[in-house]
Amino acid sequence: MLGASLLGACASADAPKSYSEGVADACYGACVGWQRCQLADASCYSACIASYDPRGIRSESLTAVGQCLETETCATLDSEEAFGPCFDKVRESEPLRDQLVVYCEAAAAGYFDCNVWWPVEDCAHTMGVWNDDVLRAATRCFGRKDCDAREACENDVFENPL
Amino acid sequence: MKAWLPLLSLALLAACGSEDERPRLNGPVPLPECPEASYEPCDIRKAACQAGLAELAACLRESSAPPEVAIELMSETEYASVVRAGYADVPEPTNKHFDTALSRFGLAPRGGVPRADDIFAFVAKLGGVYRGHEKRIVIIDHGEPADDELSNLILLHELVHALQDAEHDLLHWPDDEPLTFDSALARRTVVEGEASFYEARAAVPFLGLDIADVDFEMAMQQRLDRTLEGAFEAELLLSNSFVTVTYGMGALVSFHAWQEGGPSGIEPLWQAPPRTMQRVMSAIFGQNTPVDAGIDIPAPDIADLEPYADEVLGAWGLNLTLGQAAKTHDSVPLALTWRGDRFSVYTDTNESTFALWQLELESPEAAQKLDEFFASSGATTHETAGSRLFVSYGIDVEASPSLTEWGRAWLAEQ
Repeated sequence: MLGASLLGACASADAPKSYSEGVADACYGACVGWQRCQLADASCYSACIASYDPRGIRSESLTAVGQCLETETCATLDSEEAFGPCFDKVRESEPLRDQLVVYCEAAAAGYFDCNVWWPVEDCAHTMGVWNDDVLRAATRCFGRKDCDAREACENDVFENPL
Repeated sequence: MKAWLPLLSLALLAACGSEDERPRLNGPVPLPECPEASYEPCDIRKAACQAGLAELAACLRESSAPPEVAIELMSETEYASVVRAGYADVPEPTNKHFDTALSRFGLAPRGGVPRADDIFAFVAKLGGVYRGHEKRIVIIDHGEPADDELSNLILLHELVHALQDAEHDLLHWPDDEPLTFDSALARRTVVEGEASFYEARAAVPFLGLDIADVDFEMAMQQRLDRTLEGAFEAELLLSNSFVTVTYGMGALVSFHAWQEGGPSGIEPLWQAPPRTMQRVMSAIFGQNTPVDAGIDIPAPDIADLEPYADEVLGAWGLNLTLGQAAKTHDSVPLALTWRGDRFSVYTDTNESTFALWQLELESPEAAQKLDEFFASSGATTHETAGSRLFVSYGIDVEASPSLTEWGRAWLAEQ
């Protein structure tokens, strides 16, 4: 079993999960957690699938969030920010990817130009949950000359991800 | 099963090719002038970290040796106590007539701000401070990490001050002449400007960037814009200017000087520092003609009131006055027509507050324009003649006839 996992990972043979599979994993984990804490009933999963739509987030990150939510504390799961701590945890452990590096180097330089100091490393630990298409679009924002235009562009990208 | 997960992760890492094949961050790209320095954030409480930053500060300034200075961290409360102790022999005035007079133009609240509140607000904003008479740096612990980029850069900024002190004796630089608000602010742009410039330059590698990939001119302009906005975001706008515009304007001036000749390009600023904010602002905004020294305006000589305080507010003080009323920065061109001023505050036996602000501007047209501003700002006695004008007023009382007469006589002199 372990050997199979290794082989699969190295050969990149694992088909990337679709967005809907990622949402399904997040909802599954959340419902396991909520039901464990008696915060939801059997309709949890279908209700979650119907309403949860975190556009622009990587499916792998959503899967990881789901795994985290399964064991999240009941106090957190009962709060308004039920997913927050798990997202923070997942953010921290996201692997570096080419597009993430490209975005973070462009963003840190672009922010510096606008008198905002954001270390490349902090960016990489924060933004890794966004998918490459979103990060690619956000990277293009830093081609704009004006700081207000850059900010408006980034807001648009992250608030209305493809 | 979960106990196996870490092992599985390790196996995956080992099995999936060498580390070089995975994407990685470029990491700090050393500044060309200090290629050997470390730009990795370190714990500023540790001696080795402090020594590394001291060497970097010396390298950036091309100083002969790192500064020798004590460094300590203090909580906000601890440092507020230190500041309070500095005022132990200075009783807090019951009536802060100067602030009350400034309140006429929105530059301070009427009656000022209780000293304890002022100290608290000051310390809350303070990253660190170099205390020249004690030759020590205090970094304020706001509960943030001591090993991140920002804390390293704050310490670097203060270490630059220590180097400046070793070279120029900041307590007596450039001379021991009494300072006005205007001249003190102008000189401070050199001190804070140089430190802020090097802090920003070092920030680039500390943030993991290459200096070749940033637009430093744009960054300094943005910093200036931010500080110009911040200059209006306080209760006491005159004292707030020392922690806003001195950094923003000064950093841009230092950067431009550095572009001309590296660290030695900044040296002329130390040898001949600006004595007016008009000169600083004129250079930054590329408007008007720089004025090296303001016209000296004699203090009122009147017998029926007691002098409380007087100041030269300068072009920046005028800009604050105009900008506070208009809530825009369109006031700079008019502020730069400043050629001299004296803001005199008096009181009487009833503890009333009276003020006379005499201003000399570049031209009669400028004086007329400013007079129109004073006319629109409320019921004050304001008159103009030639390039001079004055405003005389009382707070909750009529303007003092003797101050108004003094103003008229001064107008008639020209």
